[in-house]
Amino acid sequence: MNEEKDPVEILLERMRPADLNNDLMARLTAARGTIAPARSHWFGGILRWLTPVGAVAAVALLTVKVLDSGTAGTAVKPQSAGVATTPVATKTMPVLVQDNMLKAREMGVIVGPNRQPYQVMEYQWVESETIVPGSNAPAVRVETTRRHIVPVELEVY
Amino acid sequence: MPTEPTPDEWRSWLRDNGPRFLLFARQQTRTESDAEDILQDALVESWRRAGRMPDDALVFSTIRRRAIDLARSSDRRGVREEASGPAEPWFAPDIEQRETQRLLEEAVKEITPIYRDVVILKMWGGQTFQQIAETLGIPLNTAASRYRYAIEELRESLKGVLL
Repeated sequence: MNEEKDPVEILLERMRPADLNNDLMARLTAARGTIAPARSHWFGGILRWLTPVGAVAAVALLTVKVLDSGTAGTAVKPQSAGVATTPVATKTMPVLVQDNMLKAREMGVIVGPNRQPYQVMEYQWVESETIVPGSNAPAVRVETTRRHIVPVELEVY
Repeated sequence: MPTEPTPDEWRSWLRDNGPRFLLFARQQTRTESDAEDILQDALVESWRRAGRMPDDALVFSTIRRRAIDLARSSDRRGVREEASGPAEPWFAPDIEQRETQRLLEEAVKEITPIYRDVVILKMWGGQTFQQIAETLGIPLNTAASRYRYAIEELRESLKGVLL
C-alpha cells in the first residue's frame, strides 16, 4: 500500500526536539545515583513509625534509669555515725560511646548555585552511651537514634 | 531489583532520548522548571520500575502521571506560577531553514493543547496511536482524531506561509 505523506507531516519531520541544555544534562546525569534499589514501601512505612517510637523509648529508658539511680542513692547507708547522708548528686559521664549505622539513604539531587550537583544523603544511626551513674551503681546503657541530612558533592562525567 | 545503569549507558540514553521526553514534559506542565523536575523524577522512576532501560511508553506515561500529580498539588496550594524569563526553544535550531523553523515552531505552539499532546507523542515520541491512547488515557479513535485535527490546524496556520 502506497500511503502518501501529508505535506504538513513532511515539514514536521524535518524538526527535532532541542537538545538538553548543559545544566539540565548535568542534573540528570547526577540523578543516576538515585536509581539504586529503593526500600520496599512496607519496610519504609515500618521504619517511619519505628524511628520516632525508638527515640521516645530511648528517652523513656534514660529517664527510668536516672530515676532508679537516684532512688538507689537514698538507700546508701551513712558512712559515719550521726551524720545524715543526702543522696549524692551523681554526675553521669559516659564511659563508652559507640555509634552503629542504621541506614544511609539517597534522598535526591540538588544543583548548587555553582552548578555543582549534590546528592542529598540521609544518615541514621544509634548512639549507644554507657554511663556509670556512681561508683557503686551499675553501668547504664542509653541508646539514642540520631539522623543527619548531608549534601555530598557528585562527580559530573 | 533495579539495575543501576553505567555512567556511559545513562548518559547515552539521556542524550538520545532526553530531548523528546523533555518536549513532552513541557506540554504537561506550566513552567520550564516544573518540566525539568517532572522529567528527572519520571526518568528515575521509570528505570526503577522497569529494573533496566525502560521503554519509551513507560517514560511518557510516567511523565504524564507525575505532571497530573503536580498539577493537583499545585491547585491545592493555590499556586499559580507563570512561566518567566525567555522561553526555551522546543526544537533544535536549523541553520539553513531558520525562518521556516521559527514559523513551524510557532505554529506547533499554537495547536490546541490536547491535540498537540498527540502530535508530539506521534511525531517526536515515536508512539503508536495505541500507545498514545494508553499514555493519555483516551480511546484509540480519539487519539487518531486529535492527530488529524492537529494536522488540520497546522495546515490552516501555515497556509500561504509555508504551504
